[in-house]
Amino acid sequence: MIDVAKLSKFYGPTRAVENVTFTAEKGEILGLLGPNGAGKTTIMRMLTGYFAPTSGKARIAGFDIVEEPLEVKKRIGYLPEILPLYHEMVVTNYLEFIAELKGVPFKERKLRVAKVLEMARIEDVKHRIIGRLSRGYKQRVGLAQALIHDPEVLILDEPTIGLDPKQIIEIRQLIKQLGGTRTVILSSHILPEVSMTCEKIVIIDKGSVVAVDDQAGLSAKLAGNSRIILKIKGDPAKATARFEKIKDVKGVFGEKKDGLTSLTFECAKGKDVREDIFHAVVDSGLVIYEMKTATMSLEDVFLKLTTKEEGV
Amino acid sequence: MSKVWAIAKREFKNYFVSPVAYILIVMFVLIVGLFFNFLYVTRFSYAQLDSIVYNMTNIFMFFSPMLTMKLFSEEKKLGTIELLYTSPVTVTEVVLGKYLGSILFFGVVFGIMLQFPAFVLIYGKPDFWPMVSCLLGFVLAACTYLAIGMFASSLTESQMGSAMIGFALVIFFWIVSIISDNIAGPAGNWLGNLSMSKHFIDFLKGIVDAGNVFFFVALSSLFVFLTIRRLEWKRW
Repeated sequence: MIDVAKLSKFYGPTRAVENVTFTAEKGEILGLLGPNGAGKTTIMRMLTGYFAPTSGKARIAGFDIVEEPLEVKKRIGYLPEILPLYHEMVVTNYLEFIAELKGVPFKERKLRVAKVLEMARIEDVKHRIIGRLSRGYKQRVGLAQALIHDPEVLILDEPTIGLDPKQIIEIRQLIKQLGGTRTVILSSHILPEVSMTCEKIVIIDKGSVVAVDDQAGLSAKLAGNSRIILKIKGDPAKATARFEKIKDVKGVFGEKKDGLTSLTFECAKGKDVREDIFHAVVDSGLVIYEMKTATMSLEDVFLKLTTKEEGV
Repeated sequence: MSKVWAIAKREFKNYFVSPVAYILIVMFVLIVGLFFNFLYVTRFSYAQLDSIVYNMTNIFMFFSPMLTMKLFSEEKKLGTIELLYTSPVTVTEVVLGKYLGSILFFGVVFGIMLQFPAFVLIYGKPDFWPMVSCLLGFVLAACTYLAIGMFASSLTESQMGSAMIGFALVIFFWIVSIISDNIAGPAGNWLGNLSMSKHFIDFLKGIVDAGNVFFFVALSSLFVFLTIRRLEWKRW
């Protein structure tokens, strides 16, 4: 449904986004996760046709975003981070205007407006002036606007920003419901947000994709792979062969510091391999200075990926 | 086209949301009325439209940037421009819609202004067609002001800024003839042809010259086109 290939955006020589590649299937909810300024909004703006990419391709519902922007725009509902609301308009008038703008036929407009009022739960404020609504209601009017023409693809930039916890839960449920039939891309810099709603997660940092994972992969990490951190003296190459024989160790990463080598062992969940490691080190004639266990949460994964440490 | 109309309708209604439009209309009617009283009632008992239309056109020059300053500046500031850019409408449709909206509002102003020719018709015996020619000149000049003002509005996020730029541009195209009169040769001639006032004056005399009509249509089209280019600049 959404096929992004090597998409880049430069502002003059400044890189905003470079070589971003990912795909999303029909009905999938994809989360763009990254710290502020990572380029999430830039990616969304390219997909929605707000501006053209410097290079690369993207197709939405089979249409190229550069060659057939109007066809793409017809199929997209977009909630920008800065809510595109005309503050002096009444909610229903605003939604009717958007419906007209998005090409909803005259006969269906009233029906669609009623439908999105219900979906976004803003029926009680439908006759009020948008500028006088609270932030939470404004956010929901913004969401209603994105849904008005029943788009196949929804692109939501920070959809729960500025909402209270109860509203956040409601919006998440709504997004999940929408996901069944539509493809949703949402962005967030808050991890639980993405891990709770999205099936596929694309982690972005400094304009590049640093990881693409599905819900299951991240859940595994969230549940906590156990890690063992070891500091040893001597050449770790001697022990490599022994380490590889230990069952349940998925990977070893190392770095040298002050004459000691610090090794990190990624282990399968719930397995304790400390004893095996101990024997492996001692048998290879090395000395252990320190051994400790650490669990890695999804927050750690995210932080590690976005702060460019080694490993993971 | 239906989308042009949707945008125009919203823009037109938008004028009546804030009190600014009402204040502008009242001020415009008051000032033109004052001139009308002075020129037609107390002094000369004049039965032609040219002098009141001349004043109307000059006064509207000061009002037009205030009518157009919001068109794009506000959208940019509020971020609603993102909605327009990401909707299935072309930039051309957006610009035409906005322009049409401002012309519709001008239509209301023009409707109110028609009282002055009506008074002249009721109380005097004017020649009918020269009146039409005067009013046509007013409409053409006003639409050109609006196009120039809309372009100014696309340049900056600040409404005040766009009003200033719009005003400066309109003034330039109005009085450029004064500069050109002091330049001899073809350069002066060429510059003089850019002047709205030179092309406007014939309408007041009751002469509808195709060249003059074309000038106003071309100048408005140029600024509509420049607005489109400005909004597409650095995006596509």
